[in-house]
Amino acid sequence: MSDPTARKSAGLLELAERAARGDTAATGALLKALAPQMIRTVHALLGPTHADADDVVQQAMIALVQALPQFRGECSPQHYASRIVARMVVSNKRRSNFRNDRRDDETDVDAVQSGATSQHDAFAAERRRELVRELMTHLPEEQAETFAMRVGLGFSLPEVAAATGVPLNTVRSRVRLAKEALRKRIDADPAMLEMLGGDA
Amino acid sequence: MSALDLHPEELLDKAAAGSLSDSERVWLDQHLAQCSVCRFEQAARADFAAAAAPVADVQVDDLVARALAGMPTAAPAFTGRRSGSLRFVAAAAVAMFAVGSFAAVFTGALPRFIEKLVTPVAVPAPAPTPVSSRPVQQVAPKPVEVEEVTPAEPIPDPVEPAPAPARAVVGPKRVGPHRAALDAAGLFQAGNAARIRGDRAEAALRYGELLRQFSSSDEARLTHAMFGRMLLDSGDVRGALAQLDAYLELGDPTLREEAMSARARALALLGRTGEEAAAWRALLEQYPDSVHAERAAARLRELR
Repeated sequence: MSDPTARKSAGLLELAERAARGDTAATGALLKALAPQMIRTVHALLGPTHADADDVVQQAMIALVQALPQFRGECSPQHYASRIVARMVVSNKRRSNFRNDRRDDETDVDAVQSGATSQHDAFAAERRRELVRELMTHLPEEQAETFAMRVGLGFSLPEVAAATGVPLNTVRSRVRLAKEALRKRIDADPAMLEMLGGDA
Repeated sequence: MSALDLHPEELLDKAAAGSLSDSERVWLDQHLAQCSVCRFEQAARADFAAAAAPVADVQVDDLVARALAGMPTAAPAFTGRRSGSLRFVAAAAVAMFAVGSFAAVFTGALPRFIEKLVTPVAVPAPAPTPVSSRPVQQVAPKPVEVEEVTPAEPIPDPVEPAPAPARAVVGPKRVGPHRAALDAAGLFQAGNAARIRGDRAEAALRYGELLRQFSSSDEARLTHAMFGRMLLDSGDVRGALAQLDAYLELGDPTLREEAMSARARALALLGRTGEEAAAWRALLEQYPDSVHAERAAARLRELR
């Protein structure tokens, strides 16, 4: 096996199997290997300065370890972890929404300053990210999770299907429904529509 | 369903991967010119990718330690494996100690997340959770709301049998019918669970029972360190020092680095600066890359 990515995935698979059997050293090593990606995923989907970010990462790590006995290697451990993180974030966003806690729906100034080359581009990018995060609180759970993985994490359709364990056509359907909701949201936001270059 | 609802998702994937053919690019561009939703999706995917920032190693270590510390010890995958369970508890103990060290610098209390997240361990171990195809919903532990631990609460003598705590206990009574039947592992888990939820009196009773009844067990060895650290946090510095000394004399390596650091802090609180300096020097000598190294060096500079 010469592909470094494939070698890394195989190594992680072995760690995941050992961790699922209760090997504590493997559990620690697996979490350490997956943690950077899990942290980045939480920051992307929840917002980098969200007060609950660390808690969600830790909950996702615990959930991952406990879910390992059900992991059958249908996808990479990285994607499996990302799916769990996405589900945790969706859950957290819904709870925040239920509490009418809107602190995470404001554009993050730090993210704007550090994310892109010009202030205008940076603002537009952060508005789009915030709209994705906002949609996650309103979409049905499966659609929100799929949409988060696809747009927030850049998963392809087959990758989403493998990570969520549903048929490809189900993923297509979820994406289409999520985009219908997105269209309504964009149509109701003239500034966003203008940012996207017109009303088509 | 209109034509605009037939979004070319595969072409968006190919565009993201940079593998579009010329004809596919033309087709996708035509669609994007008409579809604001796909324009949004393409732009947003790039936005999220561009925002990914590197993660510091220290943040990784801290969050992994906290997650390990918050791991329920009676998880389905770990039940029925006595030695494995103890190893897991030991790993969690290391993590708790390490996290506690960081947290103590800032708050002097146990990490909020651990107190909030950890599910108190039922004794004996609960039945395995039913298998579900939805891992997160199955496993997400219900947060346990625990009030902040207040320092200097009286701790019963760990060696002498102590009366039931006089203070009011909030929540369900925790001294159950299984108490007399607990083995070393059960007492260790019960003590840790009580300590984590902030019930230090109950933790002290459990740890005390363990040290009296199973003094040569693996659990008792670790208990000296865990108990010592708890006593230090609660302000019983002399009691803490006795437990930490007992642990270090046993030569167990599991929590040695953390116990040495806690012992040095206990000596500082007692004003025994000469012994404190020696303790920090010993820590630096044995663990030059310790997470406590910076603190040790700073303290040694102050003590000169």
